[in-house]
Amino acid sequence: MFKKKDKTPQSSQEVVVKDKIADELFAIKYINQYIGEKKEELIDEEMTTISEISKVSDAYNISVEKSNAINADIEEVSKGFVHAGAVSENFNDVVEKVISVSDNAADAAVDLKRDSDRVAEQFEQMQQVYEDFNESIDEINAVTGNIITVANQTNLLALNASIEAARAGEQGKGFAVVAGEVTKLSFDIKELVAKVNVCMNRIQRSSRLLADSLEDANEALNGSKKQITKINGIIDGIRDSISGVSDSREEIQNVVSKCSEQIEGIKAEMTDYQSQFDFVVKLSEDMKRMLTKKSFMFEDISNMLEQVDPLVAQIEEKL
Amino acid sequence: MKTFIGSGIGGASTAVENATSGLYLPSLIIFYAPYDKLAEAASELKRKYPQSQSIGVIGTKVINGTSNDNGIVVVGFFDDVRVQAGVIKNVSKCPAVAIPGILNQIAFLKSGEEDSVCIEYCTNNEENVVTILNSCINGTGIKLVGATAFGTAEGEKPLVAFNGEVYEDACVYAFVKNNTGRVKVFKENIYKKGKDSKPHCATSVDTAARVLKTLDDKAAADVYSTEIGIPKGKIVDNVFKNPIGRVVDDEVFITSIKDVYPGGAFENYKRINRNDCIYFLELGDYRSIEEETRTLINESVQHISLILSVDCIYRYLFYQQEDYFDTYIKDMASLGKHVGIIGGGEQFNNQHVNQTMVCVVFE
Repeated sequence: MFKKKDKTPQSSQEVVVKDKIADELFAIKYINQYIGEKKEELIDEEMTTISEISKVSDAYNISVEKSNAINADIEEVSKGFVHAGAVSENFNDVVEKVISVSDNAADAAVDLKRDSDRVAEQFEQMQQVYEDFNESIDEINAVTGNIITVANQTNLLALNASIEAARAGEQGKGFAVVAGEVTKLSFDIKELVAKVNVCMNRIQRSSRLLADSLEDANEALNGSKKQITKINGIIDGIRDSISGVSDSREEIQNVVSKCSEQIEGIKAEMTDYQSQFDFVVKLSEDMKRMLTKKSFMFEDISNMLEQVDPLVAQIEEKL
Repeated sequence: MKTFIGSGIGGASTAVENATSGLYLPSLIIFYAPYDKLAEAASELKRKYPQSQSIGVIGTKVINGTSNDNGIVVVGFFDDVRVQAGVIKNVSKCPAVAIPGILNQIAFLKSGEEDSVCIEYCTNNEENVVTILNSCINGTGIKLVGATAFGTAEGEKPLVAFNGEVYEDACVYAFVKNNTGRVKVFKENIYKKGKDSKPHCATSVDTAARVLKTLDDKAAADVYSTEIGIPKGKIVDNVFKNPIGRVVDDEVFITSIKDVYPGGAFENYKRINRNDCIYFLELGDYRSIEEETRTLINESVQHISLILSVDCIYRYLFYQQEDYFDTYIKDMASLGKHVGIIGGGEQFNNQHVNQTMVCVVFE
């Protein structure tokens, strides 16, 4: 049932030949085994490379996403700046208006000052007139006082004359003296009255002047009032403009604030993107170095394979 | 770990005699000799120490703070280390034939984590050597430190020596397991990737000729000239300042530019592969970097028995130009016993590099 295996012993010549080429045969087997092992190592290295390529691909995709996000943010910032530009135009208009109004206000202020100066002059005159007027009044008072004195004396004299007249009956000489005194008093009174008239005229003159001054002052005041009204109007205009400026400024601030936030966001994204990019670059460099690592393996394989032909040649030589 | 170092000058025999004065029963000899004395020195050492394994290479030597071109330097290891030495022949064709022997030696070594190193010196085809040795030591904990022979006489081929014989187109190696302490290896670059350095892709190469034709589909010289800002005619002269390098993770592997072809391709001292990520490196503050390296060595290894180092010829020339080389080797000697060789290339674990210092430190 079972056949005996035919074991023909090797001839001595075969053994001799085998011995002669034993090293070469061993070397070829060894090279074959070595290359097999290196092939496995290379396959492992390929898997690592594929994994690294995936990482690069993933990292790159993330970079693209981040780049798109950054582009979108930049677009928003750009719009913000366009808006800020438009608002700035308004701001410029408002500023020009404020400047124009301010110029007007300056002119009006100059006019006001001039009018005020006039008022001041008028009041100085008024002051002077008033002082004159007061002097006159004083004089009048003094004169009036004298009149009273005279009048009192006149009364006394008249009384005395009455008494004397009553006594003298016929002898009215005393009355003549009295009469004389009364006459003298009358002169005095006339003089006084003339003086009063003079004073009164002076008063009247001064009053007229005062009235004139007052009128002028009034005019000047009215002028100042008009100027003040004008200036108030201008100031209101400035306020409105400033209010407009404030509004524009607020609007610009809002836009700038929003843009700043977006820019901060973009900066953070850029930093992140830069890190991602650096990571991609590093992966790419790592992959290149992995190629060098693989080339070391190829080098070893190549060094071994190069020897096969010379080994075969050596075997053939020995055979 | 017990070690011996000695040096001698004069004829090969005399130099060997002087260099080995006081050396008894070493298990391994590593020696350095000028080109014209290597063969005789190898033979003499074999005669004097027939039981010892020995490997040797040509080059300028550094020993305890001094350097010389014409003397012979001998390093001895003893029975507190386990040693397996050998030679890989035909490194330009099929060094893989040596694999069975190497694997047996590694099995014999019984290396642990951080106690073993493979020290190698080769004449050429460093990439093949690194691939072969690395494939054998992978997973064993054994580290690799090596040099390319430099100092060949005009018109001659570089040589290495193993157990009394010299070889062309070969690599000599020694596996050393330290039974008394740890073995640590270090690599030092004085060139860094600048913060503005751009990665470039090697898009066209000739690996056999070690030529880099284009970067990013543009002539390599054009790309270099634009980024570094020097004329194409000055690129080779600029190699001390801005060599090119490959970067994997945080590690930099330097390639020295040997020549610039009229079409703008670089011929290099190290192969560059297609798709390699290339940077134009910047010279760092080398004095600070050296200090950091010494600090790292001191912090990593408590009691230093021996440091064996390899300095690239370009580092040597640059430091000479800066009037710094003597200071540098004296500083290295301050760490402990230090022997070094100036090489035409350096091997470190799984890569062949240029303009680098590599060293093995025995505890």
